[in-house]
Amino acid sequence: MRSLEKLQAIDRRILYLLLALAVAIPLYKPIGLPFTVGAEARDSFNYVEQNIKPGDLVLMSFDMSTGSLPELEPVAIAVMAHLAKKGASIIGIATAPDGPMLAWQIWRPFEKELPYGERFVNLGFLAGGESGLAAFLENPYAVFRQDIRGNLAQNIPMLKGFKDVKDLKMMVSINTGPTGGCSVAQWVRIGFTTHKKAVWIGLNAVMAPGSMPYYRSGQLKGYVAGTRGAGEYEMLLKRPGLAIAGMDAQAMAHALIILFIFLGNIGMFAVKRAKGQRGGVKP
Amino acid sequence: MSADPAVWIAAIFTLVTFSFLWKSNYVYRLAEHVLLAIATGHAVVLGYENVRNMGWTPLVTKGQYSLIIPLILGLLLYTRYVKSVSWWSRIPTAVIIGCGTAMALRGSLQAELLQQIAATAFPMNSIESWLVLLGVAFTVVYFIYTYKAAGTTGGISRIGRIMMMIGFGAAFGSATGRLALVVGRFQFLMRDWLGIIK
Repeated sequence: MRSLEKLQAIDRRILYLLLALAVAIPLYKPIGLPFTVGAEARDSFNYVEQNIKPGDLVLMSFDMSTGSLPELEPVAIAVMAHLAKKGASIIGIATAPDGPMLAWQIWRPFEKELPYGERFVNLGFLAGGESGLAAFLENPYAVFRQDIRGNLAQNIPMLKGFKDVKDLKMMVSINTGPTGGCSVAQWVRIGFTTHKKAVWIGLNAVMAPGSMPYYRSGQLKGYVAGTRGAGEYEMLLKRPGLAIAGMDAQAMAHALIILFIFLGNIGMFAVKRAKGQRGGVKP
Repeated sequence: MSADPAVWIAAIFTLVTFSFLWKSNYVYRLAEHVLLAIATGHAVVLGYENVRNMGWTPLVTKGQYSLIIPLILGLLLYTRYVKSVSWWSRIPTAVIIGCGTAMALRGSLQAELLQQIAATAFPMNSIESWLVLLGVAFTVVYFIYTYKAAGTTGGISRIGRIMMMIGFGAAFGSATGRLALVVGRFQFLMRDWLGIIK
């Protein structure tokens, strides 16, 4: 009994230490746990694969904060690599303040494939959330007169053919959620419903259940959630990256947490049983 | 091991932040304040550049005088710090809320109601589709408070409650995806800083 009681009161520092080991060991010595590719990642990949042609203009919005970078960077890199491979040109904006800085970081490894000004441009931070986004799509140069480097936007070679939203083939948002900029719902409202454009979202795993209805209803053409989604995308792209490298560590950490929950519940039920109490709350 | 000072600073701050897991301490609080200060400084510079590039410069150099309206509205926000005229700040607030609401209304009905209803109801060609439809219907019944749910309605309401519990469980499950942030930090420490993994 006392040993079962202890299961509910394991020192949190021991749990953190075990969690650190569960993450560090598979990173150091990968196990190579198998994982399957889900329908969401496959649909998202297929949409880009089948619809993006060389020269297409794609709007990529870095609606992400620094805190979510470890989860969203692999998604952003995977989709940028795919767009680069398909020959698309990327117009980078950000509805979150950290976004322009993170856009540089994500684009830097693609400097040769996506030369600045020819196939990639970083226009910077777009203030005003949904209203700002709507204004940008209808009259881009009224909102961004220059890019983040100070070049006059209308003089940038790859923007010559970009007059408004009609010239975009697809909109990609790497999305932290409403606290970081335009939310998934706002992208659906403005991008898909108002302008009838394909919206492709890369998002945190924690936001996945709330955004799933938009994917199921066909309002999102791309829906890649968290490291797992990014890992699946990397597999489809045959370009192993940060996500696949971290999959073992994440799986082991998840397994450990499930074990903790299981042990904690055994302890709780054992103690309640001994005290003659029943669980649950009356509605 | 990295020779880049920026990587060292990031690694030290990462370890300092992890030290909170042992217990709160002075260096952790220092790191917290540094983060807040950097974020505030970044936001101020971003705001200043936005006002300069999109408001002040075109107004002064290109004579786009209509921009004086948003500039004045922006300044009015600061009147909240002067008690006698603080109500003036409600004018730009009203404009912001009015524009935001109008924008949201334009697509909300179609995007978040009609298309969602259609996607819930059709196509009814799999067990999953039926589960979604019944799950939504039963959950809606749970929120009917105009009369006491009893008998069949009570049973449906209870199933609706169970459906919500399953939904909350799934939402919690996805919250464990936050572990990716820990994995990302460990990748940074072990690859970029220590250089012990590829």
